[in-house]
Order: sequence, then structure tokens, then C-alpha cells
Amino acid sequence: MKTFYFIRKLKDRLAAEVISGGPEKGTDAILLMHDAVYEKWAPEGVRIFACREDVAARGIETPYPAASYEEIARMIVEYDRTIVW
Amino acid sequence: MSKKATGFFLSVEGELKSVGAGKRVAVIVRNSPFNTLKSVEAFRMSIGLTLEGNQVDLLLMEAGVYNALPSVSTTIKRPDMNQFIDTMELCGIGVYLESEALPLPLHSKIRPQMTKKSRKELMEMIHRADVVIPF
Repeated sequence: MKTFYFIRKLKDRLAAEVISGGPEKGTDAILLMHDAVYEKWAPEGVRIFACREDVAARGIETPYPAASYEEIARMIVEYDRTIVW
Repeated sequence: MSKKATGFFLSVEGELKSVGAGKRVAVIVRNSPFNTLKSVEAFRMSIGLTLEGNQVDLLLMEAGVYNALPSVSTTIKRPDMNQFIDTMELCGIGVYLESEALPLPLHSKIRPQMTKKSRKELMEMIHRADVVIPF
């Protein structure tokens, strides 16, 4: 099942384990938001985005493509399920 | 567009049964019972989800496993957990706890309505679910 994961907290071990153990990693995506934008994630075969507003609010730079609220809403519709961690 | 009917009905045997949406829902509780209201809210919502005919499983993981122990929450003026747990059983909600997360000496105290599973088995349940709601 094509899954869109929202990560909101730093060092969420359970979320990381679920994502890295997912059966269809090639189609999944992660959105880093809130404090999770500080994270440096590198799971294999998963696209990673960072919430543009949360990155700007914290005055940091992130290696991940920024996603606006509109883009996030579009992705929620595109994916089969969304899990908010 | 037709909408499938959902809800409860009384069977000829007099049992309360649900029909409808039929999604497999995994609700994950990650917090201990008393420091936040998250656990109670997870219980309340799990029961509500059965009204639409969903198959709900409640997974107690990480510090959430302490919800598997008998408690007298009303002593500290918190919602009565036992009421929720009894209702969940009536609604057919499966409650599973992460075996590795609960210290071994406490395993003998687990409520009888709850089933121990390994973290790996719970991960598989999460991957199989149509909807996953972490608390």
C-alpha cells in the first residue's frame, strides 16, 4: 500500500522502524514537519520532503525538497494511506 | 453515487453486530496511562471506530504497554480505564501489547483481555492495516 508518512518528532524510533520495514518502500514518501525538520533521514527507497513553513520558521536549511501546504494536501490525496507519527 | 449502509444491528440471536465500512484499523498507544490523556482518548476513539463496522486492533507499544496492567485510575480522579477496556472487549476490539516493552516481572499482571505479541508481529499488523492511527 502506497503510504505517506508524516514525522513530527525528533528521533522517533518506532516510526523509523515501521518505515524502514515497509513492504513497498519504493512507493512510500515521508514528510518531515514540526521539529522533525531538524532530522537527517536516509532510509532507502523512500522519497523525503520537508514542510516549507516549518523549515522557514526554524531558520534552518534542509537537504530535502520543500513542500508547501498545498503540495502536502495534494500528496495526501495521491497516496493510499497517510500515517501521522 | 450509492453509499454503503454502516452501523449496528441486532441479529436474530439477539447479538449486537456491526456492518459497513469494514476497514482494518490499527490504533497505536505509545504513552503510559496517566501522564497524558492520550491513552484514554485512544481507547475512546477505538470504540467509536467500531460503530462504522471497522475491524479495530489496539496496539500497546513502547510506554503504552503499561496500559495493560490493572489500575484504579479513579483514585487520582482520572477516567475509569476498566470501563473502556470492558467496552472494547464487548465491541470486539483486539488489544495487543508489545511483549518486549513490558518488564518480565510484570507479565503475570497483564489484564486477561490483552494478548502479548512480539514487536515484529505488531509491525506486521501495522503494515497490513488500511488505517493506522498512532497516539
